[in-house]
Amino acid sequence: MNCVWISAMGCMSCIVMHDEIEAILNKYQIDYQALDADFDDLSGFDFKNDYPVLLFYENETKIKEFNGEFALSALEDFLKVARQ
Amino acid sequence: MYFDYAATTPMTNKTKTKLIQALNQPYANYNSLHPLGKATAKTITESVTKIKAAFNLKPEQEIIFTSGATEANNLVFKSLYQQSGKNHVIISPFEHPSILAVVSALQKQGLKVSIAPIDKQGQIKIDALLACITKETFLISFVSCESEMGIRQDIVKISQAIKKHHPDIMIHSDMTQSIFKLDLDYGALDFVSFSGHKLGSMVGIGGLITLSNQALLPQIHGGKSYHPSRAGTVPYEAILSLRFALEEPLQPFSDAFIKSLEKTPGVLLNRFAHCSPYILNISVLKHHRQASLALLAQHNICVSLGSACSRQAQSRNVALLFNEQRAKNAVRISFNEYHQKQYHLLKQYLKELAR
Repeated sequence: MNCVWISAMGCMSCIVMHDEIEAILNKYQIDYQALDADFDDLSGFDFKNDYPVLLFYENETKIKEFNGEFALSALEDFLKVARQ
Repeated sequence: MYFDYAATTPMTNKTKTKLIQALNQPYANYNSLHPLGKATAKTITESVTKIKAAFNLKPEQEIIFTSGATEANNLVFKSLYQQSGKNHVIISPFEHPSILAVVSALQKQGLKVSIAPIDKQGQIKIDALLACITKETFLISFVSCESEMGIRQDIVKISQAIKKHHPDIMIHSDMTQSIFKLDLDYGALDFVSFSGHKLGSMVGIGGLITLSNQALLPQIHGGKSYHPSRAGTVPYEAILSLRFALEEPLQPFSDAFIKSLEKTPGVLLNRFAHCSPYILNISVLKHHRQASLALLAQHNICVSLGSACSRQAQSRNVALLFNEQRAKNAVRISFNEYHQKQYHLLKQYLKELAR
């Protein structure tokens, strides 16, 4: 499973959630690609424009998307199941 | 009709006239050793003295001139992060994107960030703020006047409480929306950022005031300038425009205007008693804020969605203190000049919009 983590400059939600998202992704040993909405080309990604954004892919198919100030417990629940 | 002074305050005719008169006189590079260079340096020194007086600064307190508050915010955060050897900052939940962007960038380099807790009216809870401090905290930064609703913080009380317990922690405030207009007592702050164009100067001049004269590592390196912490040719024209702008008084909106809007059906005021009298945030219940903006624009009325630098579809700050519906409909009206006829027309159009 691959993960793309998109943040944006000047996004308070991205700042607030940064450390916790990083800790959860590390806990479940998820390899992620960190992208920046202001500097990186995001044209190949389909997502709701509400940051931060986490996109999870299985065999190049998107299986899950988290946007904005989502519940971190929902991310953990998803990863627990996905990692089984 | 212009009601977006919090985004930028155009130069008044008086400021423009004074500036043109000054620029019609010969001038040179501040660093040049010939007589014209020395005369230019003298004019800069006199102008800085007047700017310091307008900001209620002591002669020994310095201004590092920058291109604006964004650069000043970058300078203080990046320099102190490099100098301190520590990795934790505390900011308020209401910071401008120019603070959030530099924090985001430093977060990727290992900076840890805490957000100061606030009460229901948006004011920082001092005890809770002090509880966020760790051994790694090197900077606490809080905006003195938030730019969407005009929520003001008690900078004197907060800064003195921090210094009482933690004299080594640096304290910074982005005072872009309040310096000169509202706040002239800096309490125990070490640094203050400001932008001249919010006060009626040309765009491209601002600064970082160093109240405690803490040295900062430059982030822009180059030749001799006005201050060793920021290289680059001293911006003569811009400094003069700031000096002349600060000779012009700014005017908040009247209490009568607020009271009349309070009575308008379908309009909610997103404000508290401690909000700035220069910024008014309202929610027109009938319309999404982008629709309100477009409908007012049809009558040539310029208002804004909030911080001009923000990308958010709703006001995060209004959502935080009121609710999501009000945040989606929130529009900022901001003032620096009083025009009775324009106020009257604005009220009339807002009533029509809300009907």
